[in-house]
Amino acid sequence: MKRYLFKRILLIIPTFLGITLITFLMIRLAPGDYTSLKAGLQGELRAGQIGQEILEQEKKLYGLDKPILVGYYEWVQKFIRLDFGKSRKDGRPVSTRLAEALPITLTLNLITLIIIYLISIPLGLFSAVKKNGFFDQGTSLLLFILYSLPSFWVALLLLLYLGGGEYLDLFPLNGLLSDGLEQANWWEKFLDFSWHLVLPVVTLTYGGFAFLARYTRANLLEVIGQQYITVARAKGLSENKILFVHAFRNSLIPLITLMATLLPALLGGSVIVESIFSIPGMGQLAFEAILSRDIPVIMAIASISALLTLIGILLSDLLYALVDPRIRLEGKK
Amino acid sequence: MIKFFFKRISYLFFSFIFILGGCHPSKKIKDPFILNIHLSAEPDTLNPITSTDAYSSSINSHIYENLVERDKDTLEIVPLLAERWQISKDKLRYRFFLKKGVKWSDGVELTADDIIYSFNKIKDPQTACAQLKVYYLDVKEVKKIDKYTIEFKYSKPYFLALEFCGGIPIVPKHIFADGTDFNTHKNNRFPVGTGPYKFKEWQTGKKIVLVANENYRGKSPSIKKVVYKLVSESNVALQMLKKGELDYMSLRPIQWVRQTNSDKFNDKFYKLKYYNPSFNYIGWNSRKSFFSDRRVRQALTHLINRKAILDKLKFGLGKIVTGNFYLYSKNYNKNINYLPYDPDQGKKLLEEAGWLDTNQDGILDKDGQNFQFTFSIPSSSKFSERLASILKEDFSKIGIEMSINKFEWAVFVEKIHKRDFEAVSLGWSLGYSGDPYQLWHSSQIEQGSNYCAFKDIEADQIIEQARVEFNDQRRTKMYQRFHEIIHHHQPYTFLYCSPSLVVVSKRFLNVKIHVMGLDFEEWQVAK
Amino acid sequence: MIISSWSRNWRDFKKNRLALAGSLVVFLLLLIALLAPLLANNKPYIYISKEKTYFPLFFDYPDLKDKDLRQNKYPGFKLFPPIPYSYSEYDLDYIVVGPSQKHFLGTDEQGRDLAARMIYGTRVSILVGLIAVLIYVTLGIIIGAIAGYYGGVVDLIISRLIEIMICFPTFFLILTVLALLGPSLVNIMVVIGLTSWTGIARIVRGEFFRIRELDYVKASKLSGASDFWIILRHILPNSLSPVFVSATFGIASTILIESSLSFLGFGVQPPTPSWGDILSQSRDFMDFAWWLTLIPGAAIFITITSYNLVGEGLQEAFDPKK
Repeated sequence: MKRYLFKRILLIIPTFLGITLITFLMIRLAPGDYTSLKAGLQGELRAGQIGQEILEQEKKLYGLDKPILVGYYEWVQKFIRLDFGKSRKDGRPVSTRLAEALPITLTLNLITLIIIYLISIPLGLFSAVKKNGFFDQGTSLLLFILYSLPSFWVALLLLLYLGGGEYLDLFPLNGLLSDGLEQANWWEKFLDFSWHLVLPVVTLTYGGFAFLARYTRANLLEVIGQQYITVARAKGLSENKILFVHAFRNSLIPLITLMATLLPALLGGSVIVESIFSIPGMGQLAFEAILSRDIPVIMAIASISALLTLIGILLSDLLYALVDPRIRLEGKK
Repeated sequence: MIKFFFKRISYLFFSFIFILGGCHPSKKIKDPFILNIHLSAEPDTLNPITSTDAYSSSINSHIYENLVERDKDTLEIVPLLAERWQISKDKLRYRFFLKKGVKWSDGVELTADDIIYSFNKIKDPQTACAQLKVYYLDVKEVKKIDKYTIEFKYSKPYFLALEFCGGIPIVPKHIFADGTDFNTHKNNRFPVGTGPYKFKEWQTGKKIVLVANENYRGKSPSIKKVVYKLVSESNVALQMLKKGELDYMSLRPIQWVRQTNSDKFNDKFYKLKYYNPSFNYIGWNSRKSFFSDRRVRQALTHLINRKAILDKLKFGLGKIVTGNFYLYSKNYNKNINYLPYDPDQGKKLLEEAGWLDTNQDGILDKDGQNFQFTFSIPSSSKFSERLASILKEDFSKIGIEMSINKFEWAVFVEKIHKRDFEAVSLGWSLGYSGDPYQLWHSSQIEQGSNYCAFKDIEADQIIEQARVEFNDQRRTKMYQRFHEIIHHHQPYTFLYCSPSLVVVSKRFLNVKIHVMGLDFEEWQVAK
Repeated sequence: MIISSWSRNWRDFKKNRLALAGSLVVFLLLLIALLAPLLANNKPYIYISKEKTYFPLFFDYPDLKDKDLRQNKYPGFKLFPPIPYSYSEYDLDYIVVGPSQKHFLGTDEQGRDLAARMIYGTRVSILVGLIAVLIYVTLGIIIGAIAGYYGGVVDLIISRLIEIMICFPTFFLILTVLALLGPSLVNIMVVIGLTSWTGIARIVRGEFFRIRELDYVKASKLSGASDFWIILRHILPNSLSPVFVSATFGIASTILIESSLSFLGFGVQPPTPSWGDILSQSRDFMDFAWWLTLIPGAAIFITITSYNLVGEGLQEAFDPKK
């Protein structure tokens, strides 16, 4: 076991380098770079455009005149020292920009995750218990429909019809905190913040119920069909006790292993939801960075996300093996 | 059991939602001395030397000041930080006398040192300001005469010299010269200026706030606080405006015409319109075989129904232009009429240039080559997309096959730089005085802004002579002749000068439209 | 053995009414996509004038060139397709006009008929869905089969490869590659195809591990059959059922990805209509032009739901636990 663990951790390094190298290559090779963006505003160019030698001067400033591999090597060197460099856009350290966007996305994702779990699991368990009944089939259909609704459409509709202006004015139009509330106390800020979060969270959660509810239902059904449950019944235990003590707990185990791969997903923001609701999170940050070829930011996000994914996969594999001794860790007998 | 929990949880959940929906924080009574302006994209930086976008310049125009400024109505150069200036007889030396006692918002006095510092920073190869360096290439040196006097020395005379050195961005030396990197200095996000407003805060992704500068030497503005709110969705911004969360924004034509017409709206808002020195156009790359012949370019212009597009697509908001000078400046030759929509004339010109459908396949051809080209448009411009789709339809009826290539802005700009395009849809945002050198002189074809490779001997001569012509009337005549030449050659199909369509809340009085637009520094808050 | 299990699965599938409904819709969409030029066109199927009978939609006639036969000045019998507009023709007098007799579903910002564009938009969705999925299913099967069959070092390397692919946040990978290649229908299909194969690869790999140990495979190996033959004839056919299921869901998600890309402005080139693109264009007039938002959104929703229903049905039908 220990040897396997060690081997996996060691393997993370080349994988990580591979991922970051490919990302760097793609961005450097992509047409357009940050210097040409300084040429003008979107859609209109300012007169007095840049002469070639001046552009070359700017390229040197940003290190874009160096060959790709040299650039990559320099990036790795800085990365090891945990220096993510400075964003091309405004010159601020990348870590500052990440520190601004990350908490927002993290909060949103955590709330989304909690709500999805809170709703899906009881739904799934209940559906399994009342298998093929009206509740089961009805819920199944409803969740299915929700799963198929395109999120950007739903976001637009929610914003339009519930977000005020022309129709109902139940929720705010954008951002995360209303104006003039800087002086308000903690409780008011919290309420206002929650109020702003409702529409984006609804948009992010509704599609997630289907999968988890179904998964929970399937797991519970499988567990119920097991022999030890039959034994418990034969022993005369009440149905409720059986469900809670045995079935319930055992069916939740796979869900835990699922959580491990969710680690990197927590940091990814949905570009679409963020741009529609004007939430300055990681999704917007990454999207904008790609569009403006802001290499330090792109590399920082890619590397962090890659690292977390790799760790998440490792954790998930380990947890799964720990929990279910039938699974072998290696590929062949 | 599960049912029990489930019911409880769902009741809790939905009641929470209802509570939130219902009792959100009550609308606090707003401070009337605050102006909320819509910002559709976040500026990169508020350093006037390294910034390149219009949002940044707009915000900075209330914080930073220059030696001179332009009168909002006459467009004349008038004193600002400099109380007067002297120009040497040979037009090479420009001496500015600064006003005494002008203070930066932190109380330190502005002196010649600040201007020398700013100029050196611009010339410094380590400073990321390529777009600005171009303007000062001909300035040999800037000399400090005394604490309140500086002199710019040009290597050759240039009629815009006064405007350029008078308009040099000035940053406070005592703040920036602290050893840290200029390009990433912390005061790029905390500008300190001499203007009527000073910077208060910048919440990334949300807003930028300015407050009245108590150290300002002039009259304190009525509006005490300005909040630039960042809202990228135009439709959302309009809703916010209607709700009262924004006071000042620019509209798209369709919003102006269809979504802001109710009586209720007009009771609460002014709708104002003014023209900037900018225009959009279709650029024909004359290096390509199709567009090297002037007759083809003229034909294509005849085949584009500019009037109908303006009337219907842009709801008549705009003016068709025929040249690059500012529509309302004297340089614009009003005697030139735009080539009207005339498909027959277009066909005739194409035939003259040798384009006929010899093999009856529906596409015009010449010397075995079909008339097929790609039209490059930036993905950020909705108008370009409309235009391109319309042109594709119209051209195909004549027998010209046009395909559309939509690129994201970064890629688009690079293609322009590399001259990798056949026809392109773009716009120019020019200054009010408009020296055509950078756009039209043949020396700028390879690496400058003359992307379409326009070359004409007479045009070159006019440009060169005009640059050293200090008499305004003589220069205007030259430029009007230049306008005729451009019109004759049609290197671009000029499209429109589009107005800024602005909406302002009637909470403010004295909202006047000047030639240069609006200036909230003069507005009064209504009682 | 293989044949009879498939027919049993088909019977199970047919019992599921929702899945059948889904398949019907999918079939209808395919039909619409194929027949688009016959459903929305500004040329009539048949035009009988006093002198001659024409079939303008099918053939080119020099004497009909540039003539808009919808106009009254061309008398005679004319039979037009149900939507008598092409998807690219514009009418500047009808900008953003709601559903009316003239334009069944309304018009867009250029006066183009929405119904015609929706019909042609089906082509983009179906094409992207089918081809991208075809690409990644093929890739996934090949890679998964090799890893699953050979195991050991080969599997180690391939598993690392799969890990690498998973670590790239898919959407941003797609955006970055599109930035590299330039947005176009072909590039979108290829990019989605090249980035989504990991799921299939893992499924196939898992299946191969399982089936490989079964007796009949071992027997086949002992009797000297080549690896290639074993993979192709014995293991692969039995491992395909989860692949089908995943692929069907994959079509739905690919259509969603394409719509999202178009919505963000990374989609097809104008004037090609794509539902996501139409939706994106409508953002600015959402408060009064409901048809530009509701209709393309509903179309995407119905398409995705149908594919998902079919996938569900397949999953139930193939369920080995029955």
